[in-house]
Amino acid sequence: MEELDGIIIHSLRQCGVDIADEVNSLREFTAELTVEGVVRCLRSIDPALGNAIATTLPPGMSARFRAGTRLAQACQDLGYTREVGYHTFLYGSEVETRNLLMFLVERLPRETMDSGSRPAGKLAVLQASIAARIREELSAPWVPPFCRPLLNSWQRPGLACPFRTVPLSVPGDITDPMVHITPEERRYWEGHLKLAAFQVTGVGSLIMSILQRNANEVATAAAWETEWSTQGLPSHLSADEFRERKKEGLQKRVFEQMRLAVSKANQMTAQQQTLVNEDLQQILQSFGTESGSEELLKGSRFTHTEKLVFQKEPDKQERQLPRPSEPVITSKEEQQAAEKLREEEVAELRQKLDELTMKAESLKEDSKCLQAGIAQVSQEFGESEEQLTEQREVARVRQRTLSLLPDAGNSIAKLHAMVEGSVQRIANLSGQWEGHRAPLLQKIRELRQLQLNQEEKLAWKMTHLREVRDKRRRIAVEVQAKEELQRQLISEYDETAQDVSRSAYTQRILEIVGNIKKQKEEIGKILSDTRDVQKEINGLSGKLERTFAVAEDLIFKDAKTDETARKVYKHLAALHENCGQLIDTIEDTGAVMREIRDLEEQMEAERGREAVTNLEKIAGDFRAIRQENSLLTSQLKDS
Amino acid sequence: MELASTVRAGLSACTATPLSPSALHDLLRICFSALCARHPHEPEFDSEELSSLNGATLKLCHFGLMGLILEAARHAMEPTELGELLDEYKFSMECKRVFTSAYQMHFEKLSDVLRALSPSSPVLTDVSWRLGYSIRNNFLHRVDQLNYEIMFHSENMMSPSSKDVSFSCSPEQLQDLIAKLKDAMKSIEKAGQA
Repeated sequence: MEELDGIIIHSLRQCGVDIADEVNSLREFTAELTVEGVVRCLRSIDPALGNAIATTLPPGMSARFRAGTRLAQACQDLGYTREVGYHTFLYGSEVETRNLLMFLVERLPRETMDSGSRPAGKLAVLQASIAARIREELSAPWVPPFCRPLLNSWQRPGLACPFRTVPLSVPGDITDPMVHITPEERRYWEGHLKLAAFQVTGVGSLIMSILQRNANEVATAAAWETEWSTQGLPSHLSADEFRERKKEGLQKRVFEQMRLAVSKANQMTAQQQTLVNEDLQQILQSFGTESGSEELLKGSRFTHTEKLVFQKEPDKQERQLPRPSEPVITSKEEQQAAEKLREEEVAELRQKLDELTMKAESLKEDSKCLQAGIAQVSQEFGESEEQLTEQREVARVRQRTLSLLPDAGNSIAKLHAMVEGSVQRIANLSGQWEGHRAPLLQKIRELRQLQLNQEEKLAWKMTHLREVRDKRRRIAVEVQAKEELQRQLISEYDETAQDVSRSAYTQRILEIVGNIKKQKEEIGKILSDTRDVQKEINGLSGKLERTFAVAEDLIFKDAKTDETARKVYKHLAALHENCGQLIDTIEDTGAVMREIRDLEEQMEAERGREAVTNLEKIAGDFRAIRQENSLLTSQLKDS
Repeated sequence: MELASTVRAGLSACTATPLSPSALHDLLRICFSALCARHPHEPEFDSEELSSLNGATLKLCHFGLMGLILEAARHAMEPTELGELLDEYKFSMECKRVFTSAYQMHFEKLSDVLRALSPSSPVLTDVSWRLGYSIRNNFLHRVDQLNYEIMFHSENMMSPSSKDVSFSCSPEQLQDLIAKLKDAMKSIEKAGQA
């Protein structure tokens, strides 16, 4: 029974019942513990059923009675066939409690037992580790503050500094033939470059710089990997070409944006515009695109003049500034007068400036007109020159024809011969061409076919490559997940290793099974023995019947004549009857003995159930409930 | 844990050179002193092998080793895991032993340094208090009130100078504060039992 109790207690602990370590058997269970165990089991089996019942017993007798009845009802709903009532929980004997708990533990869903024994998921592991850490911290002895830095390294104020990183310079692999290294670079790396650790001052920033560089390179490689597999591979370009193309595209986009910004900037105020344009011009020039600089020049012609206008002013002011300081201003009036004078002068100068700008504008317009005129004239000149050369050519042909006219017949014949010769030559050449063309065409066709084949092959290889890459990524992810799982399982296994060992359990179960087998064999033996005895009894009784019949027959025949034989016959009949009675009595005795044993067992069971004390307790409960009821009625009456 | 291509190149350079265990030991010493010491000094290469090594390769190896050490300490790698990783870069048994033992020796220190890098709130170092009884003030002739002056001495990792927080409170407010703190302590105990 101890083993059974151990299993039940273990299961209850897994369900979340807080059972003290000293409790080893169900005999030590209190009513509260029993109720809690039953409720927790019910909750695990059927949450809807169990959640409605509290795990603790209420203080009032009637409330206790109700809670017990509900629990009993719930157990019966689950299919518990034995007798169960509220007293089972409150005053239940060990046997009853064991039966009930065994029934419930058998009904426990398998998963909850599993999840109880092994907290699933990372979260549970994390929570457990947090709890362990807190326990550790709490159990650490208190130390005066001035001693703390020496003891708790985690509290020690370190060399903390703000997160600042420095780009580190690291030499490339000079043994790698794939990397192109200039001799200057190499000289720098070998001779002048410091070790990475001494390129930075301060340990903190060194560590941060190295970590940042590592993370940066890893992230860049990952981003390139995804981009290459999604866009790069389908484009049929080599990696370098793809990079080049991407760079061009980006530059174009940046340039477009800049151009848009410039055109927008034209609508800004003049001052802002100059500032913006200066910067933009610099940036755009760095791209080295010709069209860009043209665009900008157009945009900045106006701004250039504006710049001049605004630059003049401060110059003037600078020039004017020293002036007032030269004469010593003695009075306020003089100062005011000087200021007025200056303002007037400024206004005058501004007016002059405006005039000059206007003039410059008009002159610029004039020059534009004149330039347009020049362009037109030069175009006309070119056209007329072309006409002249054409007409000269015509004149030359005509002159030649005229010179041939006197010997017309001869010339015509010559011409005919020449034409015929050319025709023949053309035919000849076309024949030759055909001869060359056919094989060439054939070759083109073949090459095209070959190219098509190769493209197909390439496409197939590309898809294959993509599949392989996908597979590789998937496998890598899977491996990572599995490793994680393995680590988690190992840690969990380490935790659960101290628990009741599985092999001991199986060993015990096997032993029990062996015992049962032995007992079964013994029972079989006893059964066969019983059958043998029964057979013997049957044989003996048959023999007895037959012997009696023969004896009776013999004596009956003699009895008609002989008096002694008659007496003998009477005695025989009496003997047979008595013996029969004796056998009946023996059989009855056996039955009674069996009945007695049954009754004794029943008595034992009843004694185990402590019916009398239970009855007394129940009567006590009944009285308590009546008392409560009467109290309540009196309260009701009072109110 | 992932390593950058430069770090990987550095580790491969260590085995391609190849570094002897003693040279590796010297190089590791330089790395750890740079990472753990507060004021590292410019190293002198005592070992002949290191000083005869090509400068660029030596610097690459140095960077690779530092990168690996930091990442391993950051992920709190076990020496066995580290050994498996070193196997990928074809480190010899002896070199592996040298590396893992040096790593184990400096691991505590390294993780302290890494921990100290993260920004943190000020740490409470001490509390001082004073009970005052004010009889009168500028506005009231009779005040007759108790008040506590509490001062928290705190220390911030970012600035070595201690920073104090002082406030005054009535006895009730002090009791409130104590109750809150007790509650916090109780919650922590409960969390520890869970």
